[in-house]
Amino acid sequence: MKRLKSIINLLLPVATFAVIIIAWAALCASEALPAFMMPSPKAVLDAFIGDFKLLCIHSKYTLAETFTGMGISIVLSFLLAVVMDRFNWIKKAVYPLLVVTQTVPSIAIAPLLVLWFGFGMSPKVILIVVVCFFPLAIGFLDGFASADEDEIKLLKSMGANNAQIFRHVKFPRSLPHFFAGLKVSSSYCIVSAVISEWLGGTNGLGVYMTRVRKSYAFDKMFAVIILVSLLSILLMALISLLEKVTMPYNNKEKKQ
Amino acid sequence: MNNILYANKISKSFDGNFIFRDLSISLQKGETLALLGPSGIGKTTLLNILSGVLAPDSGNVYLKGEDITAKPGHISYMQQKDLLLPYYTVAENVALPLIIKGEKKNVAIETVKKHFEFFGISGYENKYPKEMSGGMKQRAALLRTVIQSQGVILLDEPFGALDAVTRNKMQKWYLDIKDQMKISTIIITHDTDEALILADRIIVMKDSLTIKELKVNDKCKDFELTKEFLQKKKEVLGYL
Repeated sequence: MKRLKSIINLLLPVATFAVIIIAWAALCASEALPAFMMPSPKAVLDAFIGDFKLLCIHSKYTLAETFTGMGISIVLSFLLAVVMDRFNWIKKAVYPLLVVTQTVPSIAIAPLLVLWFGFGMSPKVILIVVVCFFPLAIGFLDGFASADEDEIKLLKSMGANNAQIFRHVKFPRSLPHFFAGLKVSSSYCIVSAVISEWLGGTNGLGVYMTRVRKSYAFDKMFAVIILVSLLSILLMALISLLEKVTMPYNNKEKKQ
Repeated sequence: MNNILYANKISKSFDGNFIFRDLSISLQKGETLALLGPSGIGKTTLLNILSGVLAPDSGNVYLKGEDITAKPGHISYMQQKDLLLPYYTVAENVALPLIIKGEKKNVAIETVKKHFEFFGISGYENKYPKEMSGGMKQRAALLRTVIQSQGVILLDEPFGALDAVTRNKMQKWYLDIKDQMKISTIIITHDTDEALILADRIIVMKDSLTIKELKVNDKCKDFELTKEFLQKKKEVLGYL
């Protein structure tokens, strides 16, 4: 009974997608829309397969930018959060700035970054850092602050110094918050990379997108959009896996 | 004097209100001393001072003659909650005081594992705290406290969160282990029965400045079922 339920739970979302694709195919087959504007699922799939090699090459660049940007964001946000947690006046001084950077629309500063840093990888990576930094830094900060006062007192009564309190209480307490922030920012990450590739560059899915758009290749346009969302899903799955590996104590909770 | 722990004329005030004024407390080797009194009169503050986590306004705390005022790390302290860290296994939790003192993690874990059997939590070494029952967690927390200690432990309502049956078992069990582990204890409680069952000496605090002392040694088996127990209980309640 329980197994049946879990199978149904798995099938429901699959069914939703299937219905949407069938409806899409039916709409195209009925010729209510001109085929060049709304390609059929079959045409999109063909475009995807036909351009697969090219898509792979461009994905490699986009993913490289994404991972570099994410890596830099994680390191920087961790360092800043540690300093902000340690010195309250720095926290007070910097926190509003963090919020403000978040309200600046990333699409608006992307052209500026291209003007400043050229058509290479750096403006893309910088945009990703600007976008991802905030949720990650806030995740760490909230995590550090969520450490129980009594747990800190316990460590103090053991004679622990600040570094040890950080190592044994604050850092492990921040991990769930950090991963929540990482999941949020991961979906921004790839989109930011793609947007900044629109504005200039020679490689990447954004560049590919601009090219197929200019040649009105709608089927390829759809193919690359689907690829971008697939990559986002894979990235999130990777983060979930990482979360399970780093926090084995949480997995058992779910089983119970 | 056979005092293992001695607090001399401790004063502490918050916002100008005295919590204690010139309070002196001594603990003898192997003794269990209960601090009994209503909530909110500063019993926990006193333990914070004795453990060195909090500095007194004036006065000193001596452990085996050494001044340890406001120097944490010498006296182990078990707070009201078990405070087992959920992201560490039970063995890692228990070994934490040794790891903090600079011992290698695997050595520390091997050292503490020897005591699991005696504390009735063997088999839980590599499990996480949430897989244990309330009583088990309390035993693990107590083992950690004993591992951390140099003979003196402070317990802040250690069995307060447990159900009555488990609490009763834990009290009996505690009386067993404290002799075998040769520990001297100060225990905070607001439960008169618990104080009478566990302690050799009770300090009754009506408010922080009115203190009465009462000896409860030479207890027979099943002391809590005797007439003397009721007599002592009347006496204690009379003070409060």
